Amino acid sequence: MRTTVVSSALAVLFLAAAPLAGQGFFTNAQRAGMGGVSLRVDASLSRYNVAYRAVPPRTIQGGAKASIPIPFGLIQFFKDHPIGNLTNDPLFHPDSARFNPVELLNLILSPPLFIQVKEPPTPTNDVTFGIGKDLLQVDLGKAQTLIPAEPFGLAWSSRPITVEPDFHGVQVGVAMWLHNEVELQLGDSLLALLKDAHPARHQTLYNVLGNGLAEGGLAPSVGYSGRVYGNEDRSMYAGIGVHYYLGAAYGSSTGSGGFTTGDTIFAGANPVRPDLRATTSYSKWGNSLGHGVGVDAGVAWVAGPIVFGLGVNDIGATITWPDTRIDYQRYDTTTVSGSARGWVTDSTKLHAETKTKLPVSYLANVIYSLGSSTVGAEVLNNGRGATVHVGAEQRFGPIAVRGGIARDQRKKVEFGFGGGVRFGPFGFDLGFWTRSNALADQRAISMATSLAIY
Amino acid sequence: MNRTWITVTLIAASLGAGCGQGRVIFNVDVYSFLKTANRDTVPYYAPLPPGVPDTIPVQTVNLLPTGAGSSIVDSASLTGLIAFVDAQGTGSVTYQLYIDTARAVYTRAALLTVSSGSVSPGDSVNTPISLNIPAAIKPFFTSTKVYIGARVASTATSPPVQGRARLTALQLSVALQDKIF
Repeated sequence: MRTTVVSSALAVLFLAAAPLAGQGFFTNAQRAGMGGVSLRVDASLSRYNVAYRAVPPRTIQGGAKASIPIPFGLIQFFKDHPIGNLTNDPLFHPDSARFNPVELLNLILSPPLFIQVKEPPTPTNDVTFGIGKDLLQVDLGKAQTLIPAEPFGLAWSSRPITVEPDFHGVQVGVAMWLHNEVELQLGDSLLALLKDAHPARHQTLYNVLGNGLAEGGLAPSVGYSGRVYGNEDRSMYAGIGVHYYLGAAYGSSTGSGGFTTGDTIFAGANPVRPDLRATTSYSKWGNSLGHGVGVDAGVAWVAGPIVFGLGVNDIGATITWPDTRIDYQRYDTTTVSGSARGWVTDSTKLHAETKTKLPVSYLANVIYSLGSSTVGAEVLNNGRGATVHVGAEQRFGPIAVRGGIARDQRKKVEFGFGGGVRFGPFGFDLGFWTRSNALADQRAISMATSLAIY
Repeated sequence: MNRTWITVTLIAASLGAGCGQGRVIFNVDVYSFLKTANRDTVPYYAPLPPGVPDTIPVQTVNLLPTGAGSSIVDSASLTGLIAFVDAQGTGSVTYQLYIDTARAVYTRAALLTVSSGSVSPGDSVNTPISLNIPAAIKPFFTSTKVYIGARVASTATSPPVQGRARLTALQLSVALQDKIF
């Protein structure tokens, strides 16, 4: 049990790190200090705008060739949670009196790569249950703010491994692709029970709606990016990439889980009726491959100190899975020999064709660099809401000062500030940023550190 | 008992457990369970006629459907009100409340004894109930349910005595340190 919790939490933690990078978790202290904006022509831009592959990195002055995160947060984390004692650590140990599920979830939402200057606060109020023969009332107090009124979850589309060598602007290669979505939403009645402390009502369904999807595979790709107009000082770059998606495995599920109350809240041996149903479709590894075509396109305009770009990824990327199995499952409360029949599965729908769609992501950005000053702004939507980042950097010889502001996917305003110092080909950067990717109604503050190579 | 309350309870309890030093408090309306089962009123007699029980059938009171794990019960108290309504004879009445996690509640000592004082025909003596539950009993409230019993005994000074002991309120409050899992 303990090992499962520990390993599951660590696995989720590491798996979450990649998608969270696209949702406001930065591994680059320079970006963190500028509210997340990228002021360099680097991989973070060319990931979403294929035209930037052709723009020379030297277009923007002062940019580092590489940034290596220095994970001081892990030192802090493993000091607080010794690695040899993880299986007994209260953080991962539900049997411990100090186990706190909110703290564990916040750890997953924000991996401890960097030092947490201000941890997300967890409510410390009492929670009161009112129980009577015909009464159930739950008053979570201040913790009501943690109950999400809107759908919540994670979604990301990524290409964790890409091998696309460039031959004079033509890129031919293959990318590994992954697409995951998890979304949960509390039903209205359950929401009122937990968030507004409404008493449970008779003959009412209390449920959680959920859906999840995971798919992945390889995508042979061909693309081109290059200067299509102008000269060194004033140029238009364009890029296009075509991906033929080959899906290796796919699974999705949509369902509802809950119960319906009776005429009395606590009556008899079974006062509530389970209401559980799910539709699951999947194509296992080794089954027929999914297939589909998606297009990336982008343009970039470089005019002296200004760089402007607009890129769109995964246009029309619909994956067709020709041989999926669809199961309809429901919990049957019909009593047989004194007990409910339980889960009943209808697996008669075999060899069905299913289509899934990769989310279209887009990036619009502008960078203005003049002398020792650089400012920039970007709007990024990677399939789950747009984020806006605005930031600036001012260099004073070897020293850089940075600041920025952002609007995250939860539409909350976040702030960043920091600085750096350069020693010849190396530099050390420090960035502070506020973040709201936690189960809390107040911002946390993290401090990122990284080593820059110029 | 109520396994399917688990969904809501786990969500709520998770948040409760996540509330740092916050406690999980249960306010259980025990009276509502007794009232629904028509066990809020117990007749009393002195002397007790043969074959007439002086106890109520054991009643089940639901607590947290998942139980409260190995949580520590900070405090537990019982408050309420009982009315001794005397119809005939003069004497005194005692009302005893039993509680246990096993159904055989009458095999252990009474948790609470309430005395009416002297009652006479036509009297309706309202007696408040207030008890801080002893440490030995507190762990009972981390269970999914407890069993409740009541016994009424009467002593006659002018027999025969006959009347009813009628609960009008009985509230159990339990505060747990947040350790549901």
